This record gives sequence, structure tokens and C-alpha cells, in this order.
Amino acid sequence: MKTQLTEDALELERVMDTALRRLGGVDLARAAEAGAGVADVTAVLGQLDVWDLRPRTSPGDGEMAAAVCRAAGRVALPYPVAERLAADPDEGFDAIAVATGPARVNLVGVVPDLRWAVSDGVGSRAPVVSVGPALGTKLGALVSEVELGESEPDGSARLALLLPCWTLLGMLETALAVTRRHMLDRRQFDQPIASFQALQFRLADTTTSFQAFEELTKYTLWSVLSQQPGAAVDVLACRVAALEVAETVFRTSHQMHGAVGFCDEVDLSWLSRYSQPIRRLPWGLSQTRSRLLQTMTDVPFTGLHGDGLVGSANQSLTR
Amino acid sequence: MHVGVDDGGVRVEFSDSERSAALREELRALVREHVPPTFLGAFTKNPQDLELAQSFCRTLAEKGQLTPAWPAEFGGYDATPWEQTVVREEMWAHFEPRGAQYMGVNWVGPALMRFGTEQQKAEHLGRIAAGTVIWCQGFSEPEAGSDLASLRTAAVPDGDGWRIDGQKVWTSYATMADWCFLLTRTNRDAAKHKGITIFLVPMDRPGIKVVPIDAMVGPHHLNEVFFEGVPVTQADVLGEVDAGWSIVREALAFERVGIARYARCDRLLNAAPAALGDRWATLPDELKQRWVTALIRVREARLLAYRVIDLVETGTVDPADTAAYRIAATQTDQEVAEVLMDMVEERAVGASDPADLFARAVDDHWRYAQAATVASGSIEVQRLLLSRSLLKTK
Repeated sequence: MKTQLTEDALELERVMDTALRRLGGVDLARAAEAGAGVADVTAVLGQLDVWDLRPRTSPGDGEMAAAVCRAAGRVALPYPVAERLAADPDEGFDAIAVATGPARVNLVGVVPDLRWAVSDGVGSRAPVVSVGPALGTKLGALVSEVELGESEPDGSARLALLLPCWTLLGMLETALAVTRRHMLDRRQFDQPIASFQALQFRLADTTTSFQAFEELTKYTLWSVLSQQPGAAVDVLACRVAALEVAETVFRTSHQMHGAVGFCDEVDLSWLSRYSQPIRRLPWGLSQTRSRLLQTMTDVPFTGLHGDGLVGSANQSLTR
Repeated sequence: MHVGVDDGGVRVEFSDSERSAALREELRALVREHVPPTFLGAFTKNPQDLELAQSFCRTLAEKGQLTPAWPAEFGGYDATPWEQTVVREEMWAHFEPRGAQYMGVNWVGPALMRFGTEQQKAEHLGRIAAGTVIWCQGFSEPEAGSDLASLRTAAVPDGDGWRIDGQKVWTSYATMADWCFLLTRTNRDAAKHKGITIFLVPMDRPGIKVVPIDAMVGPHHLNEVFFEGVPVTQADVLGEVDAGWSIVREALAFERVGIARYARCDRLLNAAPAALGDRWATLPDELKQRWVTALIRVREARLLAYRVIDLVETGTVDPADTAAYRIAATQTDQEVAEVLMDMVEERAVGASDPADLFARAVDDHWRYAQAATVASGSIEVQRLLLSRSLLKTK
């Protein structure tokens, strides 16, 4: 049993944190929405050899890929890091996202000339043949509608679902960090708001939910990289947890910040808005949970007891 | 539990090691052989349940599995934290067939090893390791719950020793205990954490009276214990006089993770589809969604426990880490209890068929889960611990 990522992965994450901070951190999102390109980001990630990682074939690379996604999330990086790392260029695609129904893909138009594919999440993928303009909305600024080509078998859905959870993990980590700082700095009734027990307890509960999700992302990474029998269920369970904890963390962060938290002058607003495409695409909470239950009819939710198959669990109390 | 190694170094790994897996299987085999499926804990109205637990403890002791964490010289085998985790999980999942023994095994024994005299070690450790003695914990008082250091039960000097007067409350297993690990105030002039002394007191000593408290959690869990002029001597003192508080803090830290509540939740949730049979198909979709959410919560609670254990192994654990685990684990226990009660529908208020094991187990779990956020440090205390750690200025 080991619950921490490799030192290699953590070191790459630290280097990437530093590099992205030097480029401007969350200001990169502000710049991207103002129309600036992401050439600097492309250059830095290339210098760090991020695109040489092959998480689908190397578990060690998989841990580094997850750590890189978390670092990207910490600054709400307007760049398809998770999507690129989930794809294998040797299979003809540079980036892959999961989408169903009318295919809307986050960050698909940010980097020119990438070969994109869309996975349906259950074993098929199709190439993106054309990309529409970015929606430019508050919650989907860099989301575009895409047209798809012919479908073919696909084995990348698990990473394509899991790595965005790691990006979201990074976003939540920053949201909690800025919330803690705000609680210590903001004074009301002649004292820091951190001195109010109701707010302390809310921070404790929210942090507990965050830590639980953080551990689950590592468990799911292990499950996917080592191809555990329940991996297909595990990624959906991880996404369910991600969507729930994102609601919890951002609700707490906004409440603690008060009105200033909605203003684009503070990073929280950007983190909150840029988390939305990850949380709504390809499926929201109820849809994801429904798919999880459906998948559990033939893939186990493994635990300490039983096979976790809906309707056919072989474990009963009679042993 | 084993460690994965490949080109990138030591990777995350969440499966049992070969040793842990073998231990888990050995424990399950022992439970299958010695504990009937109808067993729902030692503390029932049926005295045979307690007898069964006592017998099972002796079996575990013979197999070397009652005190696995103890050093070999005291009857253990220095089990790793991960092996201890397997024991905690398997015992709790199967309704704690060690009965009241886990208290003696998990922290009374280790406290005796650390602070006891040679005479105390010789008198007690062998019997705890053999599973033949029950201890109770004389901690809480009517005016000292979460604020334990406010305890008032007094040991007043009398001749060569002391006489103890006062009252303890919520004392589990006091009716059946042979010994009490008793906290008393020996110095009223000192700061409240500094005048506390621990006495190891046999429960048959004159002046001790136990009054059971009827409660929803069931018999034997809650008692009052009255002390009236109970004589004790220097030989009964654990550690130094007036230095009991630090022993208590250290003793309870032996058990950072505590009860593996998630393990029973895991077992009951997984049993639900088969146990409900045809009824499963008729459950509302919303309830099935709560069920799968509960499975996720249980997995998260287990992973938070593993996080603490990993931090213990590397010597970097902080009380705030334990607090986060306890907040998650106790709330999950109650959330699971609610889901399971909904699943058994009308049988939630009582199974008319004694053979309806699942409904009985769900009933037992729900009643016990009510205390999850109160016992062993209330959830509010855990929140205080965690938030103060988070908000301290660096």
C-alpha cells in the first residue's frame, strides 16, 4: 500500500507549478479570454517534455500525467492538457475528450492544428472534422461545438474521463487555498472571519470532502493504470465524487468570499467559471451516477466485500 | 500491503500485499468456523453472544491473532500498521467478535507496556494477550465529556494510599469488566491537565457500584459507575502521580484510526442486492443512486484511513489528518445507516422473522451508528482540531 505519487511525478508537478506561475498563473485564463494565444504555454509544456509522456502504456508516465493535470488545474490553465495526455499520437490523435449527444468540447479550438477525437465513453471514438467558434459564454468561454467523422473502436475513455478529474482537483485545491487566505485577511465585526466557529466548521467539512476526493483520484489512477477489473466503474465513481466535491468546495469558497468572489478581479471567479465545462461536459452529476449504476451491471464496484454487481452480488450475510 | 515498482519509482498501490491478503483470508476463515452468521455483536440480551466472543478471543489468542501489534515478548508478532488495519477491518465487518477485548488489546495493553511497572506488566499483559480479561475505560463523567480534563472524580490521600470518590458515566462494558483504567483528580490546585492520575482498579474492589443505562444502542454499552471510598495504593498507579493526562493522550494515539466503521458499511452495502432479492428491482431509482453514492463515500473513508496509516508509517502524521478521517468515517457511517434503513422498508422498525438477518443487521448498524459522531471524540472536536490546523498562520 502506498498512497503518494512517485517523487518523479511530484517533482515534475513542482517544476510545472513554478513555470505556470512565472507565465502569469490564473492571468493566463484572463489573457486567453481576451483573445491572446497560448503559444507561451505550448512552449513551456514542450520544454518540460510533457508530450513525451505515454500514460496509456507506462504507469510511471501515468502518475506524471496526473500530476501535470493537477498543476494545470491549479491555475485554471486555458489549455487542453488532460485531453492531450489522454490521447496517444501514435494512434493518430493528439487530444481526446469524451462527449455524447451534440458534441461540445472544451478547449478544442485553443491550440491550432491538433488532431482531436471524441470518445463516447463506452468504446468508440470519432475524429473531429471541424470545430465551430468558441461559445464565448461566461461558463463556456472556450467550449466549441464540433463535427465528427466515422466512429472506430477506442480504448482511451478511462483516461479521458479520469485526467480531467485531476485538473478539477487542482482547481479545488487553489479555491480552498484562496478561501483560507481570505478568511484570515477579511475582517468583519472587528475580527478576521476565520475566528467565527460556523465558518471554521464549514472549512473543516469542506476540506474533509476535498481530501477524500484527493485520495479517490489516486485510487482511481492506480485502478486505471494497473487495469483493475473494476476500472471502468472506478472512473465513473471518481467523476461522481468530483462533481459532488466541486459543488461543495466552490459553494463554500463563494460563500466565504461574499460578493467579491463573483468578481473577475479575484482568481476564485475564474477557477469557478473554468471548472464548469469539466463539470457539465460530457455529463452532469445525475447522468454520471446513472451511467455508473448501469455499468455496475457487469463491472464490479470492488471493495472489501462482494463483487458489487448490481442485482447479482454474490455476497450475503450468510457467508 | 505491497509496493509497486517500475520505471518511474515507487508508485501508488492500493491492493493488499500477499501477507495482508493471507491474513485477511485467515481471519475470514476463523470467523466462518467459529462465529455463526447470526452473530450481531457480543452485547445483546443473549448472554451466549458474550460467551461466544470470549471464546473467539481465546481462539484468536491461540492463533496469535488477538494481539498482532504487540511485540513478541508480550504475545504478539509486531504486525505492521497495514496488517493491524486488516484485523480492524475484518473484525468490525463481522460485528466485532472480539467483544470488549479490543480496548485491552488496542490501547490498555500498549499503555501498560509503555508506562507500567514490571509487576503491572506481569499481572496484566499475559491475560490481555490470552483474551481472558475485560477492561473498561473510566473516563467520561457527568460534567466531563468532550472536555475530559475537567473530570472531578477525586482520589484523596488516605494513609499510604488514596480513597476514590466520584462518578463515571457512559462506561461501556462496566457490568462485565474485570478491571477499570480509571482517571482521577489527585491535585485540585494544579492546572486541570496537570492534577490527573491513572489507577488500575479491579472492578470487584469494595465501594464500586455499576448501574446499567437502558439505551437505544443496546445493553452493556452505557453504564454509570459510582466510586465511594474505594481504596487504592501506589501499586495501582499507572505512571506518575499527577501525570496521567499525558499517558491518556499518548495511549489514545496508539489507536489513531480507531474503529474501521467503513468495513461494516462496505459489507452491508455489498450484501444489499442479494439480501433484498426480488425487492431490489422494485427499489426507487433515487434509492439506488443513494446506495451507489454511499459505496463511493465508504471507499473514500477507507482511503482516508489508509492515508493516515501511510503518514503514520512515514512519521509525518498530524492530528488534523486523523480528524479529517474521523469526520468522514463517522458521517459516512450514519449516511450508510440511513440508506440501508430505507432499503429494508417496513422491516426497519423491526424484523418479524428472526431469520431476516439483513434487516436485523441493518437495525443494529443504524442504532450503533447514531453514536458515531459522539463517541471517541465528538465530530465537533474533530472539526475544531482540523480547522485550527488549517487556519493557523504559517
